[in-house]
Amino acid sequence: MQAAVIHEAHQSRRDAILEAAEAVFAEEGYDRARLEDVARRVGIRRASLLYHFRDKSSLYAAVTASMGEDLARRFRRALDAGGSPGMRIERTVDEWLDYAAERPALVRIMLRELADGASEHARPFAEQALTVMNAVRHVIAEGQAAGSLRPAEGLQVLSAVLGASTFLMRFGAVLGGIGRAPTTLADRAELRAFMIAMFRNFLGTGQSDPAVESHATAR
Amino acid sequence: MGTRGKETRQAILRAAEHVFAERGYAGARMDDVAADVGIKRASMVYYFRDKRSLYLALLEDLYGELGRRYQQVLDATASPVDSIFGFLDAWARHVQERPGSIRILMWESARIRRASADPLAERLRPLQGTVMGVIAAGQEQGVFRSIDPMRFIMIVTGATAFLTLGMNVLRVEGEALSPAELRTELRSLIQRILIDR
Repeated sequence: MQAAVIHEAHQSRRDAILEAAEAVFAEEGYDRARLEDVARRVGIRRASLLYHFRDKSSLYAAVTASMGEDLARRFRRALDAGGSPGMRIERTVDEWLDYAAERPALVRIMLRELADGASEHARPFAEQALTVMNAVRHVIAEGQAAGSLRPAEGLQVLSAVLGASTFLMRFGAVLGGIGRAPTTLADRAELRAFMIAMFRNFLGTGQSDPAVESHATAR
Repeated sequence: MGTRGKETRQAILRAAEHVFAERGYAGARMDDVAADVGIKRASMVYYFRDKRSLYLALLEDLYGELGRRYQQVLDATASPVDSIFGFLDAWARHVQERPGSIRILMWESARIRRASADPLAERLRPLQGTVMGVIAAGQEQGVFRSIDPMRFIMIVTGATAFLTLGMNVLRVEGEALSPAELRTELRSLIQRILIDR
């Protein structure tokens, strides 16, 4: 019993460190993030932090691994639920937007990883993200084989939809300083409609009768 | 500044592109740039007095060059469709030759904005204006769909980032796009979102 209590305390301390680290890495980037700042946010000493994570690199690996697990869990939920391939793919949009809304730090860490050419510490995340991409591609291929989705290369479709949506979530802020206010898609409903429209445009998700679609699209 | 001085300045800017692309503004160090060029940090001050002025010059260099490429396209094309696909080719070539231009956009998107007057936004503004002007002209002529031009720019930029940098992150072997493939993908994307009905 006592061991269980200790284990639980250990686990919740570890979770608190991860949560603080997520914010610090998003704000400062890997290079500038300091373990002291993470420890201070949690309200513990640096030495106690080192008891849970031996160095910055392993802390970052744990944060990005948790990003990847969360992403994989959400996408699995969308893809494993029933329905046509098109419905399953469109359902990933809500999971993706929930993910970005609930853990905005993760989107920023992802952008940093894109910017710095993918660090070695983020490999666990990259592996999970690749698994997620492949799972979506698998469902796309399934729909295409059954004739309910249009032929389009899954990887490129996802790059366009996820790339555009990630960028839209953040880039409006970059352009925000100039006089003419740009249209951003900070608004969730708008972003959702935009992503669904892109999937429909590329793959014909949301079509009940594929025969209605006259043109087989270029890839 | 003599020829030698101009060459050194150019070499510093190239090194700065690499360092800022790799580490972002916050993580970049003048020492790294100097080491990359093979000069002393003290000599660099003659060209750029501090990190901020080096960064501003780099933004000017990167996006100024893109702007000149767009201007050449405008001068050489007569229709909005030709201009927009010309911009796209110029953009794909620019991203390939000067990868710092897209990586810096990612770094800046990850930061929380504090300053209201942002030098990057200022640099990008004329480029946006050029592209938006062509889109508006195409829409007026009825050859482009009625997509919001800002949104169009963001879609193409975001897709470019994922198609190039995203593939690095995922380490998708054998699926990294060649410059020609990137161009083909983006052309097909533009065709879909701007032209097809």
